[in-house]
Amino acid sequence: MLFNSLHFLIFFPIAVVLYFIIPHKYRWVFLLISSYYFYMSWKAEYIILIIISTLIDYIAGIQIYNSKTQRRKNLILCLSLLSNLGLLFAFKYFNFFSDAIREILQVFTIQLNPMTLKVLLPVGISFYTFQSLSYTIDIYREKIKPTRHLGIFALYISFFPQLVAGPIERAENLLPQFFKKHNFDYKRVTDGLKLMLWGFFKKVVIADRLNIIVNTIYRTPMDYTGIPLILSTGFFAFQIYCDFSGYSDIAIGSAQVMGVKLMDNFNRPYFSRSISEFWKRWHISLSTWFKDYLYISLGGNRVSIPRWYFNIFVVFLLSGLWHGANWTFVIWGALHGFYLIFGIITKSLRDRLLVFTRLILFPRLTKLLSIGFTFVLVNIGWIFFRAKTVSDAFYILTHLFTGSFSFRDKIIPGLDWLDLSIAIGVILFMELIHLILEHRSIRQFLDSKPLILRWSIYLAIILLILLFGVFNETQFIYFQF
Amino acid sequence: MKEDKIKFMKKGILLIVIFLVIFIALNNYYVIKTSPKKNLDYAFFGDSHVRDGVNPQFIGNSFNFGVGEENYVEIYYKIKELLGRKLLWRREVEINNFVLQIDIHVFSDKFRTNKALSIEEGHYNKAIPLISAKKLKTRSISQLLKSKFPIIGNGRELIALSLYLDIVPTKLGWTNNTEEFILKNKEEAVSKRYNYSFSNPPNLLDNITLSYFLKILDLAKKNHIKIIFIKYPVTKEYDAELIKHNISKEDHYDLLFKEINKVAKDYVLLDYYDDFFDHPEYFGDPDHLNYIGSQILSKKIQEDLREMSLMPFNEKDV
Repeated sequence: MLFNSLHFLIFFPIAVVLYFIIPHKYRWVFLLISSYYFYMSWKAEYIILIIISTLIDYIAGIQIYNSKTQRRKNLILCLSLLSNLGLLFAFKYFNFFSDAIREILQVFTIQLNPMTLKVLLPVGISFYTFQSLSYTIDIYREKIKPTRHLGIFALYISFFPQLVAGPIERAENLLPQFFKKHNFDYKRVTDGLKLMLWGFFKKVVIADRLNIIVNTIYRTPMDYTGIPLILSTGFFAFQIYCDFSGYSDIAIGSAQVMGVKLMDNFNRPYFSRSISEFWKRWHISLSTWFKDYLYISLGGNRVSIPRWYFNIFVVFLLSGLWHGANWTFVIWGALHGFYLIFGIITKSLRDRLLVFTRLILFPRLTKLLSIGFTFVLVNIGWIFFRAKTVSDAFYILTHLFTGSFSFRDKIIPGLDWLDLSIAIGVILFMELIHLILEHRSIRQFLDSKPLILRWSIYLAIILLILLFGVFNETQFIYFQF
Repeated sequence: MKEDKIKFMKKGILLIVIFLVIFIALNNYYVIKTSPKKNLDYAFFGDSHVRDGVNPQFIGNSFNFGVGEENYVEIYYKIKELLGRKLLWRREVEINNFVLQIDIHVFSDKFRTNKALSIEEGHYNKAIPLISAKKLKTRSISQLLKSKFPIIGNGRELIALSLYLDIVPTKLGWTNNTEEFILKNKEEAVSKRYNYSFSNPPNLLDNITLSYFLKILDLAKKNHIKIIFIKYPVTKEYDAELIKHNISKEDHYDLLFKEINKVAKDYVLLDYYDDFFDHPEYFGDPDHLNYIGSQILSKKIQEDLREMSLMPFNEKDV
């Protein structure tokens, strides 16, 4: 079920009303059934994968905790990792590696056609697999104790607001919340609804509107040069942000309505002054997952400098691969790894350059330049992320500043200046809100305003969604991961 | 907790009521803005070929009632409703000419039985509510909502219509087709379009469609409305696909006009079928004109109507 579907708009209010009617001790049953129904409305048979992951990690968690020897602990963790990652590999990466092997063998003139699987990628498999893995790893590290309640553990894996695209939660935060009784609290419920509204606005008004323009260009990029390529790449940066952060807002908001607090996933990422800051603000739940469970396991920065760089690179390479089984994602991840390492190596040089050019005397200008430069670097990465093939991506990169730069011609076929004005207008509106809310959340900002103004804003956003939204139930980009 | 629930319900209901008042007002404003004039010289009917191909801004006092995938059964009910609607004692919309599409595929049995409705469902409203036609095709709740509230997703059009901007993609019923046939895999696109419209083997003159089509001619006669038939242009690739499947256009039209002549005598035929064979750039796909093609065809239609003295020369100069 998609959040931006009529199905969800009917499902959610019914689920919430029933949730508050049902006595606390049965609520987990209701939430679990609702979550499975939510997932099964997409492809019913794939629920079996979630159930397998749930059972494996439920048993693994208890077994690791009860293990008397370190060897047994290691063995059970390895089994849990292998089975979870095995499922992920089979459904997501098998064909990719199979193709890669075939291509490598072709270089040595060996003709081989390895087996390929004709299976549909289960929605959200990367998200719930990682969430499930974090549970067993945390028990292994003795950070948490396993839960004996299979039903609540199943709910932890499948809780519908964050099941298919995160935030990737930790057992430490989420599991205890399912045991607590959550009463109907006016402020909490309305805050959740406001956040959902903002999420819908970002998704259907901004992301899906930009999607039309971005798709037109990226479908056949070789038909364009110059402005259309620059414009569509810039638009994609906002499309993916609004698509994913919009999803996260709806997820966090809908969980909050039911009294469950999920972790924040975004924090105005395009205001980052460096790539390392960008990764502290973008898809926070995934970047912290990689930091906690991979980067630190590899030794983090408490190793020799070459090994440290290696650790960073590996983490980003795998983060790229996590996003999709395609070389474009691998290059995207590698590029970000390279950015970070390059940033570390050149840090002192850049500091000296600031002093030398006296830019250090103008901190605001320096901040603005850093934000702009980071945004450009991120956009170069997005070209690889969005392009269908690596050759498309290189074509776009090498043709950004070629061809006609005249605005007299139609910039994008079939789209006039009103379309472009609306697209740019909604982006500016969102970024203006972000700028105003530098140190406050949108909810805190609204709470400080008089009732008439607040209600006018709510009504305006609802009307903007209905009037300017694109209602063809466009899938969220991150569903494919 | 109970107080919180009551407070939430009270405020929620109030917010919904205020929202509905504003939303319905905006929706009605949009419907009025996009509705046809009370007196129309030319009313174009048909499916997406008409919807995309005829831009009424170039053709006198006209309105494009074309809707994607609409067949003559639905068009009959649409016209019946259109002619039946009265404001006090006067008919709400007076029409002088029906311009009917007679492309080969619209009479095919497969075309009539296609159940799916495209996403431009909201444009049904441009033809005034179609209670009878609604019964003919299955619709989802979201499609019904869109047909009841066509303003949904059309904020852009609302701005453009309110500011009298000349860039409305659905102005006077016309839809701006932004696709480019030349960028597509032609073979694949042609085969897809063919399979969409024709069964195997093709039944070119479906009895039910034909009977409703003839009923429309009868309605026109009773209401003293003149008839103009149009064969809309297709690409030469699409034509080749018809030939490949042994479809004889000549035989089909012989049969069709034999039936037409039984009920109508005075009609005009405008044939643009092969006019754009050498211009694939005018098409969005094998059989739909894009925004370039529609402009050229619309101007052509206007010129032809003038030549046949069906339109005064000074009426609208473009």
